[in-house]
Amino acid sequence: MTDEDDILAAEFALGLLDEAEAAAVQARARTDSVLSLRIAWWRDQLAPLVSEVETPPPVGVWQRIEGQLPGNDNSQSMMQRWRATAVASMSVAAALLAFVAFRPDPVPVITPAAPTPMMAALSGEKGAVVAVSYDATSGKLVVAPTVLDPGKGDAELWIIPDGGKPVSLGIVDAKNIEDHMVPEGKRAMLIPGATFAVTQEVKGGSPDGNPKGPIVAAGKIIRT
Amino acid sequence: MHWRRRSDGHGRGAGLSSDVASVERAALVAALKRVAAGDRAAFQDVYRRTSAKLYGVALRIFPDGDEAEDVLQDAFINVWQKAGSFDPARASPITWLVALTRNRAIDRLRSKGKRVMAPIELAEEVADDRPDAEQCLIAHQSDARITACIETLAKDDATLIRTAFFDGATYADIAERANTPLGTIKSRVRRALMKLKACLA
Repeated sequence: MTDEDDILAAEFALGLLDEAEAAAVQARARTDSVLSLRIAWWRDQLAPLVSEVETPPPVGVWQRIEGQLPGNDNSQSMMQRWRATAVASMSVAAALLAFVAFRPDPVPVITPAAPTPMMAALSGEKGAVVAVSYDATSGKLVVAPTVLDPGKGDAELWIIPDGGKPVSLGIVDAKNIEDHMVPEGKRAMLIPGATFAVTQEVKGGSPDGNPKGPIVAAGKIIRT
Repeated sequence: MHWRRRSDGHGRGAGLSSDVASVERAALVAALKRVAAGDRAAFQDVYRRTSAKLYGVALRIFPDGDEAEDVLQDAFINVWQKAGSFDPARASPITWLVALTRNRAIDRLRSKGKRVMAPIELAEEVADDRPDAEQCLIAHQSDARITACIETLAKDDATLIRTAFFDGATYADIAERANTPLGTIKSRVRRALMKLKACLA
């Protein structure tokens, strides 16, 4: 990410651009995952500004709003989409997390009191669902795709430190659960609060170590 | 190495407040989802969590309380109707709610044939107003990092950023209100954004 692009992301997040410029950024952000992540970062950073002006409204306002409530026009199909992309994917991901975490080992191993494992439920707008679990002691990452379609290319997994740039963790299988060993040098980045993202890249993955394709799924690391 | 902040011992306050923020955000996302399904209790929950912030946003544009109340009312009716179009993958819930409220306020102004046009007084730019390291460190530990970081900017630069955020002002709007050439405003705001980024990151 160049400084110039980062400023563009900030300008877009703040609403400084005119209509045509904003539309151009929006179009670019659809395919440029780094740009769209930077826009999200700036929005998150700026949002707390609103606390500066906090003023409780007079008590009567709520009654007036409540008295005026029409039915809402969120159609059935809208709800179904919500369910499909959010609720369902969350529960599927949660179920998968449990599965990934507790899948039986062929040979029972007694592990010493393990440090808390970390997990992330990744989901995307188009319904992609991927569960990731990570054991910080061994550096083992388990990636379980439920719904993942990398199109004609490959799905590449990234770790994005809070406020930082995406770092590749390699290509992931779009169909099967796979174990990956995270290289020593990247392990410190896998901490709660960091984000996993899967992007759709060309075959063999991004050629230059930066995500080029759209994000198909993303989710934050939580401690279990 | 931005990510080190969390684990190096300086960032405990920032880490905690950002955890609280993400819990708050998750609660709002969940509540909006239920509002989309017509859940009135969830709607009241959204109101309870955000009405003071959104009323503040409305007051920025309509300092007169009565008009601001009407804006808030419009905004929440809009939330009730449009909650299904909120997409958590695109924006944080509070960003969405602020934009929605600001748009209602600006529509209302326009319907009266007015625009947000309070003039902005800018002093000459100070040559070196780099935020100093100590201020930045304090900002890192603060609960509202953005507010603390904005305080490290020159006063006028802070005004420009706040004007964009709260009034929905574009570069062109700001240039007009500050009676300053567009190019000057752009380079000034961009420099302020770079400083802000250095402080936030």
